[in-house]
Amino acid sequence: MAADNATPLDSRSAQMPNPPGRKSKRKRQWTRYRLMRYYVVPWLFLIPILGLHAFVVVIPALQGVYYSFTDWSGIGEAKFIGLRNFEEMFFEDQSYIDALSRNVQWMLFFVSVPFAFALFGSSLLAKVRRGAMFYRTALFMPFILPSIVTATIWRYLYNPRFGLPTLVGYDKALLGQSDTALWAIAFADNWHFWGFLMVLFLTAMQGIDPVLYDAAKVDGANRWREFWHVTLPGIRPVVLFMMMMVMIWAFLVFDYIFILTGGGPAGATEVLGIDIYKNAFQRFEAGYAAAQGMTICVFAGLIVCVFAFLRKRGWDI
Amino acid sequence: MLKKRMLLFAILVLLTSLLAGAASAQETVTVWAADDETGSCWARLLVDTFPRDDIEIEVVLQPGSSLVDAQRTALQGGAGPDITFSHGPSFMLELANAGLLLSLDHYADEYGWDDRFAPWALDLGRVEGSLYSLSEELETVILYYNRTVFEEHGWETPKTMDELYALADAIREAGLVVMGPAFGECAPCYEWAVSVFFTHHAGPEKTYEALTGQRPWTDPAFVEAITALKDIVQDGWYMGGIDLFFSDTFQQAHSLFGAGEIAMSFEGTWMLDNYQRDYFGEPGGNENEWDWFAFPTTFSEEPHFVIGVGSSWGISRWAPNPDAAAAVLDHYYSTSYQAESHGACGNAPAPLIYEGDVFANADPREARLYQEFGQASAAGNYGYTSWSFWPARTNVWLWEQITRVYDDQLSVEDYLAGMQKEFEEEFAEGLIPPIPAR
Repeated sequence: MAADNATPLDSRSAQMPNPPGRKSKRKRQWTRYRLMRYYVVPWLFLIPILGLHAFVVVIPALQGVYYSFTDWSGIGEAKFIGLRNFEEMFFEDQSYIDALSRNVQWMLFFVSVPFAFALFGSSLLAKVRRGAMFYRTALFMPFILPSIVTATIWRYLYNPRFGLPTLVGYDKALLGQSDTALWAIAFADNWHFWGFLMVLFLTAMQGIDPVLYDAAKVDGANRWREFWHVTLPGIRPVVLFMMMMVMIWAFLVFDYIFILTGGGPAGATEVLGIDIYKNAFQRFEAGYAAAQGMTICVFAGLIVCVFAFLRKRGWDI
Repeated sequence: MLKKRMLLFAILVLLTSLLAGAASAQETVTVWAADDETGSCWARLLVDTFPRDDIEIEVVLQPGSSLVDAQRTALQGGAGPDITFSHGPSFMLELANAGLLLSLDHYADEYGWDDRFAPWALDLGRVEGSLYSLSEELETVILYYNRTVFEEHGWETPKTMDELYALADAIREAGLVVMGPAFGECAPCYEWAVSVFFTHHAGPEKTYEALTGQRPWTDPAFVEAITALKDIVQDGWYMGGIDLFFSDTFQQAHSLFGAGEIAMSFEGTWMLDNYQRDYFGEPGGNENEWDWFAFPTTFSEEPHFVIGVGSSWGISRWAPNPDAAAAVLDHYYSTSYQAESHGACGNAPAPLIYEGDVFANADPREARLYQEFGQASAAGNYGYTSWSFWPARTNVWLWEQITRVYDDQLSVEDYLAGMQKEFEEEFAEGLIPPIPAR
């Protein structure tokens, strides 16, 4: 029982040689040395990075928490107003609710379409031997392009005068209609993103023991059954981890929408990121924007908690 | 001999220290400019033409499109340039209210700015009677037209709204698009047409009354104006269809205008230079010519214009040498610098009183604009651009929600009721930019 409760320091102490000599002074010196070495010195090494972290993350984050309870224009003094921002957000501001629902739609798109693309692409590419690097590089390439480049490419591809819609005789602007704009942007973002997922899945697939595939073949499994019973379980931790990350990222989406529609047409692509930007820099309601940002942190925290809970329940994450 | 050498050495040391002292007495004034062709052009010109040797202008070229946001954050943190600027009076009002700008009152007296600026322009920079910012880039919104196409079809420029409607019908019958541009890249740009319709449809007096809190935005005159705007947008005047109006880029729209596929362009005066430089004649790959006319009104045949400024300038509270910064501002707002900057960099001139033939080298179409604009201002035939005269939150409502009106998600009445609600709140908070008395 005592061993079960041993702390890491205790276990380290158990492995240490006995202090030399018998005098109590030496013992005290040894204890001091041990305290320094195992308690103080590691923190000394950590101080620079912890200081930097506190300066650029912790302090601004705490300031953000404070400002979320204030009426603040972004400049000048902030006036503490308690929970008023949150009250307005959840009970009076329909645009916040609408934006949140678009983030959820975005999340649903990104936990399905890019994953389907990436799983399909990686399982095909895993079998390719000749020119494998070329295909991998070509499919990964969009991920390293700046979003302004990718977005501009897709703006032209979506043009109804000479772009992709003309190939199927469609003469409307996908980015200019409120019922198609969000999905059109999501697809453009997906084009840039799925190659990254594919490379991750490919890497994970290389860790699967080939014997399992041989055994599946001996059992008469076709490609689909191999994928379902061998590949997918083998890469499941990576898939689930990336699913968690994608769900969190879905609340942070900003650049593609900002570049392609700025939240329009008619507010159809206004997600939380765009709404926060407008409130902070155009409406001068930085306190309210901070409160909206806080809710994103809460949503991300909830997602992490759900995955942590599932892991505790035995899911292989 | 040794004594003489010692004396000579002492004199040299004295002279050197005097010169060093003089050099260190030079005061530095920092200015931020966008790291693009125009920004670097006017900044270089400012440094080159500044007449005083005791002041050094340090220009910091900032990359990216969010220069104003970056500057705002820097100012809040006690940094940023000595000479600050923002999108216009309502933005500068926020900075002044936060105590981040210095009062310019005594500089206005010292340099005689009252006599140099158009009266309404200087008033725009006042907060509770004190001057905090100076307006720059005189702007209005007009209808450019492809003169070659008009001449081919025998179309006349309209003077009334009825004539404009008839012209639009004729343009569409000829298989052309009535007008551009498209706002796929610029959500706030939807405010241009709303500003014009408030003034040119409802009338400048009623708009003035609304901006000063004497008339609600829900007034039937504004309902009629916004309904008229909604109708022409939904009728496909812009770009031939609302989906293209919502999604096409400026470049696409201007190229089609230059090529003659779009007959008119409902644009700002900031395009005066660009059309000739990029889209018409040889640069545009066509042989077309452009011209402009004032957007017609429902109540008069005389030209009316909405007035506005593209940006405003002030002195940061953190400026170590505010007197030097004021001297730089004084030079910047001289008619000679403005004329040079306009000619060399294509900058719209500041709203100063220009006497003589300052813009002798300007394009005649441009010269005619400033002439007609001046006459209209003097006759009281001017209205208001939302980006210069509307308070911030009301203005965001104005351009953000109008697209919902166009898309039939929001009625005109609800749109104006929402605007009234935002306006009342900001009116009560004292956030309305100064509205020059009529």
